[in-house]
Amino acid sequence: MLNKFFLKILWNRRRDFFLVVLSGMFIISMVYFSAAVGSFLSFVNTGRLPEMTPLIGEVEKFYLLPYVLLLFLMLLILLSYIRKRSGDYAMLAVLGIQTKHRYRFVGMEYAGIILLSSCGGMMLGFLEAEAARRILEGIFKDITDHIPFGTAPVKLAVIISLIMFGLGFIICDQVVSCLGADALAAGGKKSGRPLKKSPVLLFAGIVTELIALASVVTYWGRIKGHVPQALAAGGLFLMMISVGGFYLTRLRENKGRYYRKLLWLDDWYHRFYYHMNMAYIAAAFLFVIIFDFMPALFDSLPLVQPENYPNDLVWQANEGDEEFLESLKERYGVKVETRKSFRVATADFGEHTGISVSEYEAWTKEHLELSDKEIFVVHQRDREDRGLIGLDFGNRSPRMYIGSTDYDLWIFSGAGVMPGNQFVREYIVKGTKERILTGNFKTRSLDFIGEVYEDIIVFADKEFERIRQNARGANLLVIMEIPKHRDEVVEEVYAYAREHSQVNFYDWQEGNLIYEGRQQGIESRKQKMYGVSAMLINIITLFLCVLFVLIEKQESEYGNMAWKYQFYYRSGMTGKGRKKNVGREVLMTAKAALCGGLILPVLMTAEKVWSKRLPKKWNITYLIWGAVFVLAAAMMVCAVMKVTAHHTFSKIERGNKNGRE
Amino acid sequence: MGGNNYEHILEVKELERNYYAPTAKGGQIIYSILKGVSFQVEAGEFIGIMGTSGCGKTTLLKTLGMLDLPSGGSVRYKGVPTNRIVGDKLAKIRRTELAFVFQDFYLMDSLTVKENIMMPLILNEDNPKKSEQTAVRMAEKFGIAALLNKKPYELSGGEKQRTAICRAMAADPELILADEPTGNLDSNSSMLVIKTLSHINKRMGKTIVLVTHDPKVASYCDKIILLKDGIILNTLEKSGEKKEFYQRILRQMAKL
Repeated sequence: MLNKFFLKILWNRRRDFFLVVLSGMFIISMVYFSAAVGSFLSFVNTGRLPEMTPLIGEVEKFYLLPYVLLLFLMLLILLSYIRKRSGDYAMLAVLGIQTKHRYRFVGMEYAGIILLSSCGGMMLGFLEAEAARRILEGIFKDITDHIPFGTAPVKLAVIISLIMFGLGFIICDQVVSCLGADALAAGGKKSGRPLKKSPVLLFAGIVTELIALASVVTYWGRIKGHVPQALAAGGLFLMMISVGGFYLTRLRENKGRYYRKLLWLDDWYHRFYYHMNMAYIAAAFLFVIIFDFMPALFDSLPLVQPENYPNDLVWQANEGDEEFLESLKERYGVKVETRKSFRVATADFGEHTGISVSEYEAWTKEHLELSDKEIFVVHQRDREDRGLIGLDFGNRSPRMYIGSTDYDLWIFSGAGVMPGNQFVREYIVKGTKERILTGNFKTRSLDFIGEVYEDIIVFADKEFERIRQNARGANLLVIMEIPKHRDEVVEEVYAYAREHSQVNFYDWQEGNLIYEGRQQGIESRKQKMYGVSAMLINIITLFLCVLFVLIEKQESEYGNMAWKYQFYYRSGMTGKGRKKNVGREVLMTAKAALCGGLILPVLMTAEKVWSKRLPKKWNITYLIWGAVFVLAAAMMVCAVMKVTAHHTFSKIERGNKNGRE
Repeated sequence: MGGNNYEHILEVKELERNYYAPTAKGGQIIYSILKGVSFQVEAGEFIGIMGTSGCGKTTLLKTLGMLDLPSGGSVRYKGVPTNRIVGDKLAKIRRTELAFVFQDFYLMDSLTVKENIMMPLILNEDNPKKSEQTAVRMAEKFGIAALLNKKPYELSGGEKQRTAICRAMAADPELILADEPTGNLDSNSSMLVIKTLSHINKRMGKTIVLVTHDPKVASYCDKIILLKDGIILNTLEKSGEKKEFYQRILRQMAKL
């Protein structure tokens, strides 16, 4: 009997209940979808499905903040639902509901939300992932015929759901058990904390944002982008709360403007923190899209970037190989350029090419002056990698070993691999330059460290000659242009190198240091395609999250809006006036989200792009692409919210007409 | 609860209730609603609490009903301080010994009149059939038997309030706390409701504490406590005819 009563009471709130279920479904589907897409892309990249831990690492790289935001969103939705249900819960408390019954009631309701959200979310996520899988299979058809589903995304989605709903249940139970007679009287319309003008929050927000701006161009090691992202997200929250608070309190002081806007701003004064929290979540999603994914997308465009591989073949050979090179010239008409060099190992798991100042000047026609203990570093990075830290994690006096890397340079222990004491800080970096000379060749470094790029390190002539004598490994840089018989030439170079050349320590296949421009270009295109696909999916996913937050908020406020419409109607407001007020109220959250979610990330992204020190042409291109992207995003949010406002207004008006009939 | 070792069903001593409201500048404003209120309620009494708006009537009733806690002083229910009655003990008292009637009725719109009346009994895990019989009996007694299968939104204000009174009476409580039960009703319905409450007090022996601002309604009480700005201004005991008591109440009200 009790259960029947509970269900009947719940049925009265079915609209709100299903809205919470739909929200839970959406959130879980997003978690499953992002994990599944991460696993598909990992499969495309490595040829195998990731296990749980690597997948978490992969997804966490991009989705840590979005997951936290989704969790926050779910809690807000649940709290908003509890607020609506508080009248019922409080009535039951006044009638003397027992603790066990309260747990049964809340538990039953909550279990329903979890069960429906989880099952529905998984199914929805699976459908979304299946669509993405088919698209990815089409894009990467030259790499794989079939991308399989793994179990890791399901496990990840289940773990995150458990955390989310577990936390939600604890909070909701606490809220329900604290409901008093006020909640009964308020009948679900209880106001939130009152609006506050807080200079302390504003100051904290400004300081946090300034630190976030500084942190964009600061090295954060293996935690990388999470630090600026977390700082910016935290600062954004403080700024939105404080600036919003200041705006509304100042507005109240200007009576003329205040009363004009009061009709559609009243609920912002009434429940400021709820509205601002929701606007913040949407803003934070926009922040992630613009700061993290937008520049990453632009970096990968166009898919073919031939400027990164200007030579047909680059080979780290040895003095004495000239005879072989002569024969290639004679037989195939290959143009060969050689430069005296040696290998330089660095403690950041990199291996670079060392050349003399004279070689550098002859090569680039640029004048350079170095003393014996000074070096000049030419970073050979593509647009995606530019702005990253320099040699040995950006140290001005990097730990280096003159010669090729080998086992003897490293200390292997249970805790990992560490550089040994043969790496010394003997030289000071006098200057750096971003320029592709040989090509953007990535050292096949150990997985857990990340990628290190093969740079050119320029030494003073005298010092170069002195240290070259004892340097281990390749000592002749060979650059070839192969006008014809490319395959035969490449084949011959590979065969010769297998017999005579240095083995790349970081290459698990024990290859030699040969970089073939065409092959590199193909691989690069594949990587760019991978990057573009991932970024587009991420952008679309998070953009859906933005729209979802705004639409969900609107739907959950439908009751209040309908009530307000009645007030307008009965006060004799014209149809146009009613529509205008409903529209303004619906758009208010979107406007707050856009203000918060566009200004800061645009500034931070500009800083990120500026730190890449790109040529002017690319800076202008990024500016144009960025402006188009941000405008399109803003317009799309406004357009969707306008449609939502129109839909809300029409629905209320239909209901009103029926009421009159 | 408390056995029979209590002198009064409710004993209020130097009761204070303050509310705290944050200011825009982050400070706090203290509103003292009750400033040292003392009185007792004996079993079987029908007490009215009157006063102007904002004088603390509802706050006092909420504190008596353990919906709110005192900031100072004490409220004893059957000899036990109410701040010691918590959790399931409090829930049990609410289910079996104490009932509320509110100005806004607070009926569950999703349940029928019959189910609303049954609610306290169902929460007490009573036999459903017996609970249904009790609900029907109550409805017949208070003249709403014809409405048993209707939903609250189909009822008039008076009918809703009688349903709420039936719900309050369903578990046969000792004490009924009524917060302006006639506040939302027209005069005819008000009279019907107050007569019902009077009947419950006189014929069924239930103790009633009623908050009202209507002197006519208050004249049905045995004793009136007049509140002004959080303190008791005067206490009126009923003596003689109801009309005469009504006139006395009116005179006192004029002084408020």
